[in-house]
Amino acid sequence: MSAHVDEMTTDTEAVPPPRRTPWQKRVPDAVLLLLVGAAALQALRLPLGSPSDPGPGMWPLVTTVFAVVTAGICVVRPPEGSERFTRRSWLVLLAALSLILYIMIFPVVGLTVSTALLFLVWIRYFFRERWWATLIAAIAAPIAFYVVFVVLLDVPFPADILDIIFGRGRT
Amino acid sequence: MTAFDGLGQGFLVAFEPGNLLAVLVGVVLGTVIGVLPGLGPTATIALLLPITYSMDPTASIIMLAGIYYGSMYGGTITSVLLRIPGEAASVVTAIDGYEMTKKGRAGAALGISAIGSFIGGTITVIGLTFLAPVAAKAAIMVGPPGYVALMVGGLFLVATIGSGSKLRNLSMAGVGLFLATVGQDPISGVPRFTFGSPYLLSGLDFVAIAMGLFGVGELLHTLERTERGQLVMTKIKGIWPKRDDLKRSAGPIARGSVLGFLIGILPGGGGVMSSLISYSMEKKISKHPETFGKGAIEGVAGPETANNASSTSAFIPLLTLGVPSNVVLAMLFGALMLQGITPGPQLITEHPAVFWGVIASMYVGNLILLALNMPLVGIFVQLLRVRPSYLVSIALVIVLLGAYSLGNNAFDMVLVVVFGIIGWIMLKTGFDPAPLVLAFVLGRILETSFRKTMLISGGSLDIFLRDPVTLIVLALIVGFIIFAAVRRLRGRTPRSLAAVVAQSTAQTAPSPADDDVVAFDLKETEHDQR
Repeated sequence: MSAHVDEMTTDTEAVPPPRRTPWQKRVPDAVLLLLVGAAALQALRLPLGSPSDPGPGMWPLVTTVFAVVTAGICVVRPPEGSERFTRRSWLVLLAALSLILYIMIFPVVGLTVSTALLFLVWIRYFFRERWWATLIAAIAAPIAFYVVFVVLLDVPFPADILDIIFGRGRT
Repeated sequence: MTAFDGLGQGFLVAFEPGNLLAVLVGVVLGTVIGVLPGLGPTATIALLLPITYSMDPTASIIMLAGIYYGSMYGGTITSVLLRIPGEAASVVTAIDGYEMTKKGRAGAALGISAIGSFIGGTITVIGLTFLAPVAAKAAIMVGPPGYVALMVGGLFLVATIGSGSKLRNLSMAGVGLFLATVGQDPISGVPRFTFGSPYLLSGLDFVAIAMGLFGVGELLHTLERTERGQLVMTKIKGIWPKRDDLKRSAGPIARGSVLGFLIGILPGGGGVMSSLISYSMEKKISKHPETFGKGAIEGVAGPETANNASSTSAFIPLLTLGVPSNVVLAMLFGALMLQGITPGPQLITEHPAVFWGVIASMYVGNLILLALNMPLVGIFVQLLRVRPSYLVSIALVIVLLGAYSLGNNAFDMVLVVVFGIIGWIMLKTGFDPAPLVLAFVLGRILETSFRKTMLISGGSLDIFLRDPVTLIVLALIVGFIIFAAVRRLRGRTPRSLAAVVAQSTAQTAPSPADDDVVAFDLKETEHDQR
């Protein structure tokens, strides 16, 4: 992980915290509390065993109860350190959607076509590069990936249009 | 077998052509990703885990280790030239390193960093060579209760020393331990939290979690913050430090080596922490503390030496105890487990080729890095021309294809993307994924040790108070809590050192409005250079 300049600057521009914590600040910790709480209840349904011979449910219960307590304190006193959601955050949702679509078409159309499409979308629309820069990448990168993963590393990917050129036809 | 015999054997392993190639690839890659902002060693190792799957265990660990200490060298370059730390451990270098660049002394700053890193790295490898076998011998005597204490203590310290909210880090560690229990119970065979899914019976895949949280999560975060932009670079001149520079840096480099070595052994110590402490230490003992922040070479030499030294000595607890002291080492721990090797005291006897091969490769790796970072630094600087759009897209496809290759099905790809989205949300909401992954990696072993301990003691917790290792760990934790409490009582703000440093950096940093366009003009630098 890397530290970035914008993470550093947030310290200086922080306004004095308001006396009452807005409820939005509690949301992340509250969500976590709900999740680990549910996990703790699930753990209770497993055989707990006894302290001298702990069963399969004992350790999950110990860890989730610990998480419930720590998350619970965080709900009461939410720590600082979250980033603001901006308009570009919506882009991440679109980006995630594009990855799901990639996974869906990957087994059908193969590595080359799906990767070219992903590059097209990401480089042209998400990063707003020029068309020529996008096209070069969208053509060159899939071929490079094919050579590395299929030809050199021999990973059995789904059938691909480049199989014909490289003479690697599969049934 | 003495350390000399072991090292001799290690060099035979390290000089095998495949392993030489592995160390070369590792350190070059480490330098490259150190230079490229937004892709740190953790994400890179996560990206490469599927590829190491098919590699020889020794070669894969040699390569991954090279990425780690190589990134410590590479991260310096962007810190000095652009005030953008390529990875977290170079944050303090950005202060005086960038000031030196503004004065036209970028070359000297980079040169002294490379020399310091080499000296610190090499001294530490020598220390590692002689200390590791001794430590491994002592570690054999650690019983299950000692292990539980070491792992819990390590997790506690990593969570509380690390960045962000301590409580949140602790609860993330709890979540990581819990996630490790998904799948069949290792002792009774009862399926846990699988919801009837056959995919989950073997547990959540470490590679998928690591690639998702660190790989995809970071990439989505980079996408959010980066629009089209390009870094304009200049030529680096005067890389060989002058006699005066060397004289001023000798002390900081010597202190940085020792400090880095000691801190690297502690949980949470590798990398960031050591460079921060070295910086504040050098500033304190300097006769001219006022020069710090205005381009003092001591402020570059000390921290850069320390972060390299600590990233090397951090291997001691991993190779001898099987306890990773930070998240990068946790990734290496995971990589070893994938190869069917459990790191721990028995590693040195059961897999001497891995143990000594990795250590010997570090001597070689540091030499290569010195060569890469002195005469060839200009080439790496050119890497800053790579557009973030290409970088992110390429890294993303590598993650997805790697995920597919894990089980040759799309299920793992979905898992990686889901964890990627979770990772991004965590980054946005201020949850650090590192304690989670660290805990997840240790989870299974910790649970087994815990249950063994309970069986031995007949359910009584007294056993922890009778175990010497446990007592030492407990004393450390209690000491740490008292130290933190006293500091708070004395009215010092509990803000971490990192925040203080960040603030002093931020005062001169480019305005946050520039963030979305990562474009900096270094023309000014060019004029200033001789």
